[in-house]
Amino acid sequence: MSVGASFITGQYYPSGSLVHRADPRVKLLIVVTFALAVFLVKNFTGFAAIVVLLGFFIYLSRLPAILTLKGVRPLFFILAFTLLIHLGTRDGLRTGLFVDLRLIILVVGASFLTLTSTPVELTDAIESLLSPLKRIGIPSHELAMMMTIALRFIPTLSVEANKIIKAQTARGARFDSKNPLTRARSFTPILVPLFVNVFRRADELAEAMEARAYHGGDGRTRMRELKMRPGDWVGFVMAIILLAGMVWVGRMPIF
Amino acid sequence: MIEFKNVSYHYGKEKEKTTALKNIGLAVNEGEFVAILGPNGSGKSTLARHMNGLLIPSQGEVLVDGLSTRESGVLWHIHQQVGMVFQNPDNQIIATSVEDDIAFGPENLGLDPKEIRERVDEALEIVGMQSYARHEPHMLSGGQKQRVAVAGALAMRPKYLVVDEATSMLDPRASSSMLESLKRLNKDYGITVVNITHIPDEAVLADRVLILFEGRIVKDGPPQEVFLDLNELREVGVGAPKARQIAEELIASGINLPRSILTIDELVSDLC
Repeated sequence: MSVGASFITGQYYPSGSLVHRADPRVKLLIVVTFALAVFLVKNFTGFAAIVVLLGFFIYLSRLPAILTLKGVRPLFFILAFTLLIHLGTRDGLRTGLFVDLRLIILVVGASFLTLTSTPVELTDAIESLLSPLKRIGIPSHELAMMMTIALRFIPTLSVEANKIIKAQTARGARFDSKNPLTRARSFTPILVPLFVNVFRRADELAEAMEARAYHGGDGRTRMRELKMRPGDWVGFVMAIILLAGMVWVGRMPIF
Repeated sequence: MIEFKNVSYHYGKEKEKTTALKNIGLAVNEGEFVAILGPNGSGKSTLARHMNGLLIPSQGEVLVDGLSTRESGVLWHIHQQVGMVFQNPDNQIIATSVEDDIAFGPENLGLDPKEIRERVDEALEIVGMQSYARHEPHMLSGGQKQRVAVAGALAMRPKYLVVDEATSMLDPRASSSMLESLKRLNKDYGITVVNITHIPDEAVLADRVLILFEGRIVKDGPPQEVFLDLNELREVGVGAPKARQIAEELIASGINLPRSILTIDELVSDLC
């Protein structure tokens, strides 16, 4: 159960801060703009400004700083490798550091988003932000529904996969071969029953949804509506202006 | 009233079609608690799915309060009037939290957010799951998941509740608590309940029992009547309630007991 439990809540860290209570659409848009800014900035002054801004956001959301850095640890080898490769080229240290900095800031920014918003909030935000694109044929409601169902069933399926592994182990299946090819093949007896079950579940779920009058996104309302409060607008506009300023400074021919 | 008029239903294509329902004529009246009992493959689930328009009859007609499930324009209204609870508790919860899931039906009806909130809170209270409102479904037990499923149906404020083998994946305690809440919904809230089951002891709780065999209704009446002739029941692949079987054995060995005994309590009070 523990695998599933940690998966669905994501990394959400409920500190009840101002940032946590902010509209998830604002947070999502700020982080997207942020990622864009990170790619546009071309000098260290710009990076420094962005890091300060990110630090300020993290301070506001009352997250333990160490938690936001956790996502960087698995990247350690990639970071070291990129730096090493770049060292061989002209002006390599500078470009290498830039690439590494970008990666680190992106990962920390992304974890800032998932630490302060629940997966449900993010799904709602994506649906709401994409809904104007319905006119050009982007199925925003369907995409959000797919995300919700995926989030709902990941823990259920991970419990089921564990059960199947145990059942097949009890029948003598081995999953510990040193040969990666044999090991990959040994997962067939897990994947086949798992997939058969997934299709059966999908059928039943579709039926249950129809029985509850589901007929797509048209004419459907939501219990929890996203509402932009004045504070959300202020925060949003300020963050965008700050980021634009940082990009402007970040593209100046200075260090 | 849910009315079946000469309903037949076939699965599959022309060549190898199997008939699941044959000329079913049936009327479920408002306020009734009906049990539909039958062995595996008798067509119980097919019958249940006709009641709220998930399946449309191959021949004949199903009318819910006079509206035919054939008319796609009213199907939406029928889904709201006839709530359904299915067998597998895991495969009917859609959202990532209990309250979001209960809100799913009302959201599909396009209700006002405030109204949805009210209905969700009300449904949570009826099934006694208020303290689990924000829980994630996969952290609940099977019995709790089924209660969430019932609440999800209730939030649509249905007149009828069709329950398809909803206790078969539950442990005995959760299953009897489920049956009690169905009884309560029928008595206190006036919801017409149709309980589809293969367990005779469950059917005893209903006011009216229908026995389905090979796609036909072979018996229809109050439980005392339906469970009278044990030989006949055996022929259509259903057993009798345990207390009824014990009583029959005792009668055969010369003890004077009425053949209307259906529950252990009745048996005990008649014997002692």
